[in-house]
Formats: sequence, structure tokens, C-alpha cells
Amino acid sequence: MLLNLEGIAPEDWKYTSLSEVLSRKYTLGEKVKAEGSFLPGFKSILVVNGYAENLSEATETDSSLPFVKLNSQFSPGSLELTLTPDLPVHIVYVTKGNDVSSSPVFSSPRCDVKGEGLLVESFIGEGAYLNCPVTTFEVSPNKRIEHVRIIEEAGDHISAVLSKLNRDSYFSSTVFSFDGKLIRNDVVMTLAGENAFGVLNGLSIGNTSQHIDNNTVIDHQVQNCESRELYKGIYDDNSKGVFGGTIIVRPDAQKTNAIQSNRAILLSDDSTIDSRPQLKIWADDVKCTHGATVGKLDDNALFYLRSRGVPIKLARAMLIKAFASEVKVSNRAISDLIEEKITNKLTK
Amino acid sequence: MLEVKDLHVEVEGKKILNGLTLKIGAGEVHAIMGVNGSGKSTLASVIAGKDGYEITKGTILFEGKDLLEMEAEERAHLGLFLAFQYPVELPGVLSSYFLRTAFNATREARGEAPLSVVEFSKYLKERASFVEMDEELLKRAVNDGFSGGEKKRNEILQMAVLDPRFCILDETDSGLDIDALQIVARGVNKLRAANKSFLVITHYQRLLNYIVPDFVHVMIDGKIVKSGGKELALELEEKGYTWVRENVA
Repeated sequence: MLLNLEGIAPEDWKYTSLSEVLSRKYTLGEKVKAEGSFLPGFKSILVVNGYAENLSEATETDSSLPFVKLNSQFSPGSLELTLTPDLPVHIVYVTKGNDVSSSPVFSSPRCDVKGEGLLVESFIGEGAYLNCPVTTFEVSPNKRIEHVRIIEEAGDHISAVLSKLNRDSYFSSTVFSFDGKLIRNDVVMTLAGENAFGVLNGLSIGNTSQHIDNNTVIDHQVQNCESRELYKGIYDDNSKGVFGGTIIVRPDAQKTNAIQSNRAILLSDDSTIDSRPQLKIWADDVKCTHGATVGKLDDNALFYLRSRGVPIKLARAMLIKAFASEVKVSNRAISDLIEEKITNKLTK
Repeated sequence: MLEVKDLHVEVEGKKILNGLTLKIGAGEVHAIMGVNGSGKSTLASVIAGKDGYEITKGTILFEGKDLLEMEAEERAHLGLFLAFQYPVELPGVLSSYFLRTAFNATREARGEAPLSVVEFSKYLKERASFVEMDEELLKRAVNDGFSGGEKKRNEILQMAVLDPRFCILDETDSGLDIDALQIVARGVNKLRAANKSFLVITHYQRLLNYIVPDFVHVMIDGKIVKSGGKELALELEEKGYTWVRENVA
């Protein structure tokens, strides 16, 4: 099958070409066996090619994102999850692709989350495929949900994380993009109830010819809400990073406090980053700041380390890891795992 | 120990050092004094191995070995240390981890076994107390958010830990109040030894009241124009750099 995408907004895909993705003939992912490794102490759920135990019928979302529609159309069903504070959940999504790259597998897992607690999602796979997962969060009044996503795909990954924050709720989502040929994350956070606090963080580490695109939207619909956003990227070889950060402050959203930051370092001459922060503000009594920086590793810092005897390779790794370490995860087991993955990725 | 011979250095086509010659023996403390722009810091950077300088002529030998052929880290492994005029802030790099990495890299380069975390932590405590410095600095990221005084103290602490044989202090006194200056100088004096040499670069004589040099050199326009004992610093303080310039001319 070919992917039939409707409603593609060209400005949302300015720096990420879909021509290759749309030119390929896909076969739908089937229910097959696979294994995943899970964080100790977490409730573990395995999803393979979008299939898992106890799926419910996927409901329509009100998102107009074309890949979300595609997901609704093809998803085998939705994983309905109610988090509890005492038992964090770890979902491992495995995509079993095709050996033939011209006919990749199409997979569209769907997960709908509510309750209160911590959810970690890992994405792994093998062979040629396009994985289009959609995860939605409904954060009820006074509830608190933390979300961590670790992307280590073998194929392509075009995903959406959609969250709605109600009154007095807290939501944070941290997306680590490590592996995947093409990675595109649409992260949309809607602050729909007063006094909600939302955090969107991300760390992308690209090398070879990877393309990593984080397109985020923070929609302040009501007054007295706060949002924080920090996306960092490290790009080597001829990898390409894209960041789109839209903050919308609706006319009713007075007293909004929103801070956005996007920082990237380019480790090679052929790596690039396109950063596009956008503020759309219709209220007058708001505090919104955004900043974007792109740079290389600091030569002075590198010399400082080397002058103390740290060999250049290690000195570079120390500085890169220090840069990455600003994107933090509060859970110790996860942050240890992330640190290990960063080290692995940087020594590849 | 260190021998600089007829050193000519350019930065982006501009001549900074013009035939500088300097010989420093083991256990000696030399001071280089000069006005801003005379090339003092360039000399420090070139000895330490910073990129961006074109050496058009001359040699730098350290115990007979050609330093100019070596990377900055290799020079450090030989026992060279530069206390920076502007120590670099490294947010996200924990001081103790940084020092252990540097220390063990040097040990490994010398064919010695690295110290374990526990062994190094004990050693670190000993060295900090030897130079009468607070260990608190080591619990933070390197120089991150440090005051000017804290940064300079941290340089001396690093010097104590890495235990180099040749130390360059590049305007360590700049931006320090008298109390901080005394703490820094006391640390340096504790580290003075028969097998260690120091090159103290400064604009003012004040620091040399506390770190008393064996030799003083005056640098003008990229070369040493006058050398003498510690009394030269006092004479210079009294008569000014113009006096040297006129004397030379």
C-alpha cells in the first residue's frame, strides 16, 4: 500500500522531506513474536508491530495531524493505560520490519494514558519499516504525569505525543531521540485548565545521515498556566536536526508564563540544524521568552581540559555529555540508563 | 628544565613574540613582568600548547624534549601546568570527576596504574588540605558560577592535585583582592620544591611580595629586554615601564 496523506501543512514540513516516505510501498505490520528488555521495578508492556494484549478499539482524536489520522486508520487498537503513582509503567514497542527496504512494514501503535504516575516508552526494531506511534495523555485535575520516550529505531519513526492538561495538573514529557533514519516527533501540549504546569524536554543525538525533527506546539488556552521547554541537539557526520517550537497564547490565557529554549551543537562541518521558534500571542499580560543557540564545542573549554592532561577524545566526550546532562530525568534508574545510552551513542 | 630559544610567534599574521629567549632551571621561580599586549599571555599559551598560534621560528625544550611537537595533553603528562588567567567554566562537569580523569590520564600516559575512585578521593582530600583549600569547591561543577577568587583558588588546587613539575601562573593576581591573593600565594609557596619550577606572569609587583621570585624578567614588544633578581621588580614598580624602555633604547 501507499500512504495517502491528507492535510499536510507545508510549513510544518519545510525542513523534513516526506518524498521518500511517501514513495514506498508498505505492508501492514502483523502480529508476530518478539522480546523486549524492561526497567526493573516497572510494570512491563510489550507492543509488537502495534499489537499488544487487551487492546481497545482506537478512538478518533481531535488532532488534525496527518500521521495521527493515519495511525487511527491503521492501528490494530488502543492500549488504554491508567497510571498509578506506586507502579511506573515501561512500554517497549518493537517493530519487526522487512528485509527488503523497498517494501517496508508500516506499524501504528496507539496508547491512551490517564491517571497519575510515570510512563517510559522505548522504541526498538529491526529491518525496514515506518513506525507511526501515537500516545495521548489526559491529565486530570490535580494529577501529575511524567513521560519519558527513548527512540532507538532501526527504521523510520514519525510519531505524536498529544497531551491535554486540566486544572492544577502537571505534565512533563522528555523525548530522547537516539537511533532512527528519519525521526519526526510532533509533540503537542494543550494547557486547558487553570494553574496547569507543562514541561516539554528533548535531547537528540544524530550521526551518520540521520534526520531528527522535533516539532513542538504548546497551546496556552486558559489563564495562569506555565510551560517550560528545553530541546537540545548534538549532531555529527552529515546528520540534520530540525526544531520547531510554537507557543500559542490564546486571548483568554492571561498571566501565562512560558519559557522556551533550543540549543544545539554541531560536531562536524556537514551537520546542520534548522531551528524555528514561533510565538503566537493574543493575550497582553503574559511572560514569554524563547532562545535558540547553535554552536560548536567550545575551543577554550577543550584546551582547558587538555591542558590538564585529558586526551582530546575524552575531553570532547566530557563536554558533549555535560551539554547533554542538562536534559534531566528525575527517576534514577532511567537517568542511569539514559547516561549509558548517551555514552554508547557518542562512541559509535 | 625549560628552555625557550629565539621564539617568534604570530597570530593571524601579527607578530606577538619577537625572538624570546628564556632558561628556567629546576627549583627556580621566574617572574615575567610587562604591560598589557607585551606578549606575556601568548608565551604562556604557546608553552602550554594552545592552538591558533603560528610559531615562525625558535624552539621550546622541556628537559631536552621538543614541546612544540606535542599536543597540550602530552605536555601536561610531562608535568606542565598552566594556571589560567581566565579559568573556563565547565557547567555539567563535576570537579572531582574532572580531576580524577585528568590525574589518571596522566598516570596512564606515564605507565602507572590509575587510582580508584576511593583512592583518588583520599588523595584529593590530602592535597586540598596541604594547600589549605576548601574541598567545597570540588563538589561543584568546574568553575561553574564561581567568583573570580574561587576560580583562581581552584587553579591552585588543581595544581596541587596534578602535582606538575613546571607551573605557569598567568596573571593569577588579576581581579583578586588582597585576602584572596594571600590564599593563592600561600598555596603556591607550599608547592615550591627543589624539583619544581614556576613561571609567574604578572603586570604588577604586588604578587611578587608573596611569591618571591629568584629571577625577574621584563618583557616589552614580545621579547625579554631586561633580567635581574627580585629587586628588579621593586625598581620597576618605582620607576615604571617607561624607564626600562628608555634604558633599552
